[in-house]
Amino acid sequence: MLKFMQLASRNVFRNKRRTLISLLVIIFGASALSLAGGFVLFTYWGLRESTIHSQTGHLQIYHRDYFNREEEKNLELGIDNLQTIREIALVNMEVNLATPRLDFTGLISNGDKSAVFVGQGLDPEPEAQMMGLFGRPESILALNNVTEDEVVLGAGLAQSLNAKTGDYLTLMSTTADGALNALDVLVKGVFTTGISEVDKRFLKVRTVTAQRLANTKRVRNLVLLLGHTEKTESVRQELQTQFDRAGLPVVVKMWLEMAPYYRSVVALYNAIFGFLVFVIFVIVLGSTANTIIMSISERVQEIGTLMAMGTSRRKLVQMFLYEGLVLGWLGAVSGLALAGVLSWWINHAEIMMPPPPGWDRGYRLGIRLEPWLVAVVFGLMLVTAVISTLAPAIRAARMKIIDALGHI
Amino acid sequence: MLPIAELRNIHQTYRLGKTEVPALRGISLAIAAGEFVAIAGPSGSGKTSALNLLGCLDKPSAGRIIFAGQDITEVSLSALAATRREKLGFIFQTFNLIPVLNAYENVEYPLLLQNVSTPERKQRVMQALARVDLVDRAKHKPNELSGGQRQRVAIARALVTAPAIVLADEPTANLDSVTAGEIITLMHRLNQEENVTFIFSTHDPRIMQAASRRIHLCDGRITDEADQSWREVAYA
Repeated sequence: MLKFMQLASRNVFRNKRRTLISLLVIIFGASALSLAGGFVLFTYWGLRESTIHSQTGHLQIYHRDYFNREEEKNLELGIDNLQTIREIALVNMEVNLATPRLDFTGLISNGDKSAVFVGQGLDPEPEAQMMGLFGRPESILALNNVTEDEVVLGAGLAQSLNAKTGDYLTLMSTTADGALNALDVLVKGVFTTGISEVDKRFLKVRTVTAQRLANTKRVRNLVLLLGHTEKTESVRQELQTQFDRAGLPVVVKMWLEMAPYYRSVVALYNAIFGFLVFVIFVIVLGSTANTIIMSISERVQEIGTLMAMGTSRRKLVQMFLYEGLVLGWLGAVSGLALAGVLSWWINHAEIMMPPPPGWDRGYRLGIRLEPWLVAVVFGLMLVTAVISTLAPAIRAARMKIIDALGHI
Repeated sequence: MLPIAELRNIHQTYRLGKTEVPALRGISLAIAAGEFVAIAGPSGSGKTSALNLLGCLDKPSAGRIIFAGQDITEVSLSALAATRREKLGFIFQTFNLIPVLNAYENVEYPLLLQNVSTPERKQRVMQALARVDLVDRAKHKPNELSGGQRQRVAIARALVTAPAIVLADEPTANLDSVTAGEIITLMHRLNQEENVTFIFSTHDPRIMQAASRRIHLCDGRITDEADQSWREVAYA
């Protein structure tokens, strides 16, 4: 086999210019696929981690019926044995952090003007810790006075109310009993989520402030941050089992279930990337097939000679497939090496991407060349090269020997 | 003694567009081991067609081909390939060496098809090159060799598997007269000293002279046999 591989390698380089053109196409294909795939993976990774750290955490614990039926009263399906749940969760070595949240809606007023808001009650310190590098924790850390009811406003909301730090505003919402309640809050800052539509409605307060407004000790959910994202499902199962054993009426949800935006981005990118793979597959297929067909047409008499010497049709097809493999291998290795160099450069060049639709800030362009992606691109290039070789090789092997020998 | 190869009442017809062109019209001949046979005749007489059939490169339109006592007329293409691989050697007018392989590798190729072990391959290739006096050119590519040297490599390649018959299609047609003479002498020596069976198609009168047996073809029929001993061999 080694000898036949050697023969294939030499045949590949018979016409150096043509082989070089084919190689360039495969190199382009391999590097384009790797970079596009690496960009997609970087986007998935960045979006996933920022979603987890700034929004969903890895796991969220809710009342068992929260997703099954509508609440008749505010926080009817909230969590009220928070401390027990938190203690059970934190026993798990993978759980780094557990913090409560309480979402609420209502009206916010400056005395002259009112606006509808969507509010979130949270504990600033653990939330800031969870954000890490994926958010701007300064805004929530401004809620630093536990004795006073404070608020940070989305930039759009602050603008519409003409509110600034140090102003007092009034929050109005319903309590857990269904009554209307109002609370004066001190504006401690303004934040942006990156999505302008959200910033027009969103505000954050401490959990205790939200509980005071709702007149309850309950929270909506408990958010958990894990050490490793890939262990999310196993930890979810473990915790669910422990809560069930403890007789706690809660359900543990994965971050992915709570992140519809992430899911829609992944679906969109998968479709785009799939189309890109198809286009590159066709280009590489055509180029390699062209090289092999040209190569065969120049070697008809030689093919006749090989068959005259007793080379079986199967062996002949195999020999041409080796040529396709050599071409594919060289192109894939070179293309992946090029992609490695380019991705290193891109990752260090601090290139900024424009903001996605609905966002008001862009993000840094990055490439994640994960080993499985490299393996898939490598395999795809080899398979493409072999597939493109197959048809011309079979046609060559079906030639009549005497016709091939007589070919000039 | 049984003949090695035998054509029995062979007809061969080719289709050119809508026209059928008869190349062989009922020829019969038998080849015995150790013969040095020349098939001669004008262009279009059927020499190459006869040689192709004897070399298992083609199947006849009618008639039987017997090889080493076995009727191979109806066998599969892979079985014919195996027969060519194991029992036949070929020498071509245009040498037909593989340009990307050097002389050693060209001679080695048929042994690779037979899955001969590396040490044995090396020994047999060097022996074959020694027989054609080309050991010192073993590492040369075909384009680094003269026409005569290329044909000697082709002869070594044909001989390396120790075939029952070596078929040569006008082996001296592309050589100058001196080189052609050397090639004829070499093949004649191999026939005389090593009992290698050669069958040629040729126009070359020197090959005709060297041949122990001459078969003349005209319009697809055998018109003359310079040595009739084959009939005795075939039908004894």
